[in-house]
Parts: sequence; C-alpha cells; structure tokens
Amino acid sequence: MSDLDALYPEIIADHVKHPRRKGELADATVESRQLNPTCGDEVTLQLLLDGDRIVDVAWAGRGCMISQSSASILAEQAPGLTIGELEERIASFRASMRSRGELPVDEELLGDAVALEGASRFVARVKCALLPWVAAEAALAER
Amino acid sequence: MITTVTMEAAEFLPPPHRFEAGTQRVSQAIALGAAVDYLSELGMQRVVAHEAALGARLLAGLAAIDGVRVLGATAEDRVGLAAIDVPGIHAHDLGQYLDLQGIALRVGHHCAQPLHRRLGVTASTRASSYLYTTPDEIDAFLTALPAALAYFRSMQ
Repeated sequence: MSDLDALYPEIIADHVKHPRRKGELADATVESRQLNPTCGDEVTLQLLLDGDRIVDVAWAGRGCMISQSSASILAEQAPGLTIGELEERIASFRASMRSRGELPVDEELLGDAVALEGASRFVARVKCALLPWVAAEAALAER
Repeated sequence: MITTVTMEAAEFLPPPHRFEAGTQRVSQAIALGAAVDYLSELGMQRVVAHEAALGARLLAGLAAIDGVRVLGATAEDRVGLAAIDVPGIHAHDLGQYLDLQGIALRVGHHCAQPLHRRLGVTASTRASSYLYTTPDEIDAFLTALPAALAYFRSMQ
C-alpha cells in the first residue's frame, strides 16, 4: 500500500462522504470547540450525558479529510460508552497517533479509528486526527 | 540598555539604545549583506525576469486546470507564486498528495487569516518560485495537480 493509500483508506472517504452524527444537540450537557491554528480547521463536539454515561454525541466543523473523518469516527462510537470508557479510548488513540507509526491503533478498542493510523506517520497530520478527540476530552473536563 | 539600575529605579540610555538590550544582530546583518551581494552579482533584473517567466508559466498552467481558483490578481502585479483554492478539496489534503510526489508547497492560511476569510476560504495551497526554481519544476507541479484532483474527486 502506498503512503497515500495508507493515509486515505476507503473508511476515511466513507466517513467524509457520509459523516456520522454531524449536527447539533439541542440539549448538550457539555461541548468544546477546538481549532487547529495552522490551517484553521475546527471541530465542535457536543456530548449529552446521563450520569456517568454518554447518551448522545453531535459534532460540527470544517477542515481536511483527516480531521473531519476522525470526528465522524469518534461520534459514531461514543454513544453508550461510560465517561471512563471514552477517556480510555482517547488516551489509547492519542498514544498511537503520537507514536510515529510505532504503536498500532487498537482496532478492538477503537474500531474505524484504525483507518487513521496512516496519519500517525505524518507529523503535520497528527493534530488533524486528534482534533475531535481533544474536543471530547475538553468537553468532559467541563463537567 | 541601561545606565544605572538600583533596587528602586532604573535609568535608560536615550533611544534607540534604550530598546536595544544585549548583543546586536551582528550575524544577521552580515548575512543580509552577503545575500545582497549574491543577488547583485546575479543581477536583480535577471532575477526579476526569471521569476516573472516562472510566474507566467505557473498562472497559464493553472488557468487551464478545471476547478482551480487562483487567489488574488491573475495577470499583472504578481510575484512568481500562486495560492490556489480547489472547492471541495482541503489544502492540507492536496498538499499531502503533492508532498508524497516530491512537490513541496505551503498549505494553510499563510499567516493571513483575515485575507483568507475575505476570500471565503480557511486555507489555501501555495506554490512559490524563486531564482533556484526551474521551469521543469513548475511543469511537474502542473502535471501532478490534475492527478491530485482526480484522486480526491474519486473519493467524493
């Protein structure tokens, strides 16, 4: 697989074409807007919480295929998780993305996010992939 | 730079020296002189002509590619570079593709966010030429760009 195809596998294209849970929650418990200052990409992530559980997620934003697909991937898998489970995924995903390709994304834990693994080899793209996950972390910190 | 400092007060030299603490930018000043000598030896008219020719080649090539919007004036009063927007394809994705083909461009807002906002985009892709850039390199970019557009459009 070429570097290019590793960076833009079909799952990424699918999430860009059919973004999951893109929109706005009327009754979000917490939210965070994150910006990538170098390119102007932005992601706003909203969470609806019921005690310790994530009931609903929505996101809005614009940017490159990596940041937008990453938001869709996160939003698809977050509902139903406990806060602790989401935090575990955020930590695991961040560790892999910052590993320069050394630490594979845990597919069992992170599902479609494995498709973003190619971005970990490009330092300039790690921030794109992490943007929505940082938004989720910041939103949870708001509680 | 100061004249006298006590625990209670500080006195400074008159401007400009009061604003120039520490070592002056000696190496930078010498390097600037060397750069000016280098350009003068080449002849600034030749440098200008080279850049103008590359810029014209770049703009003519870009005008022939569908879906590419050149930001800014299209003909006169340009230096030998072009920032482009391709609606539907983000600058970082485009730059990534071209980077992997060995073509180095700058992507992002180029420290000009208000201008990009005025132009209705968040980021653009910029190809810049200088005296060491060759016509072949411009052509390599103009050949790779349609392939890049086709690659991302095939995913849409």
